[in-house]
Amino acid sequence: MALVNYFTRATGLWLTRRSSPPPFLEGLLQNLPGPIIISVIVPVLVKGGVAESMAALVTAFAMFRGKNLAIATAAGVTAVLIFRFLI
Amino acid sequence: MAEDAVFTKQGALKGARQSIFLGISAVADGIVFGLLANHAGLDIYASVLMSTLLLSGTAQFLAVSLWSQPLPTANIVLTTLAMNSRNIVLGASLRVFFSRLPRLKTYLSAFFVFDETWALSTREITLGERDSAFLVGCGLVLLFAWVGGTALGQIFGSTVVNPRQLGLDFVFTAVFTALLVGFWKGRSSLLPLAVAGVVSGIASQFLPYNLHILAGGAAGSLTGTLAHYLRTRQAEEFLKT
Repeated sequence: MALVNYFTRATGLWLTRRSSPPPFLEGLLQNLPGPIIISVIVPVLVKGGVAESMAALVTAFAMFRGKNLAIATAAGVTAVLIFRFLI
Repeated sequence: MAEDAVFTKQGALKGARQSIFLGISAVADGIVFGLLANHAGLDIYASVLMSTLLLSGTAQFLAVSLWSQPLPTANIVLTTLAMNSRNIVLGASLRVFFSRLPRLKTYLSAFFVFDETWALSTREITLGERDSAFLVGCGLVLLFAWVGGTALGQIFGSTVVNPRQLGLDFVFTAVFTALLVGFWKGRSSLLPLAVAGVVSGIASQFLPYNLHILAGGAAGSLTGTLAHYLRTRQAEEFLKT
């Protein structure tokens, strides 16, 4: 895991010593993180409930406004506790 | 070759100074990771070692969420590769810093190429900075903050009794939702994310080992890239007419 992780970091710098990668591959890599992350979230929310989905919306809103991972996470956790209590 | 490759202690200190606020947030994130690692059954040595070697929030949160016995090693390694393959692109864009630096310094610096250090370095390069030790300075501050936070979270973690009562079972989802916002690039992000969401939601019903993450990621990334190609081609044809 650590080796693979280091590989992702070193390959880019290795490439700075070479020519540019093919644009389609570069595009694929650039577009990967968002889809990967949402693919982690959606099945959890499907399995979870309304409270979890609403708390996820609160988390996203807090992140949009604050741009702070720790604060948005805290807001989401607080929200899920409140929604679970209410629903 | 050597005269235009700069790598000094001053550059590293400058990077370190500019990373202090990100460092504070990395301590907080490290605490969250330490708590979750504790609940997933990793002891303090394993989680501190993981934070030191990987220094990657996304990969580590994901690995801990997949943590079970027997350990799904291949899946964790593949998802790490998929999650962090963006580092290849980030690193490749740091041409100004690394194309002329001696090999050893380049590949030691590579350990610190990730979202935060890349963002700070890219801004610094546009401001005219040429000292690539800047990135290492950023990385070292974040390494100590992240590892320190992990240890703190592990220590607090053992005193926490019921994770659901404290909402800790939702922290994964909250962290990933917040991270997702960081990758929102406006309306063009909607289609790939929707495709990824639908594919992963359906795939999770029948694919084992959380492979739906790779399936959704691949489908979404392909959609985004193809959509980008179609858009730019349309724009080109429009300009021609």
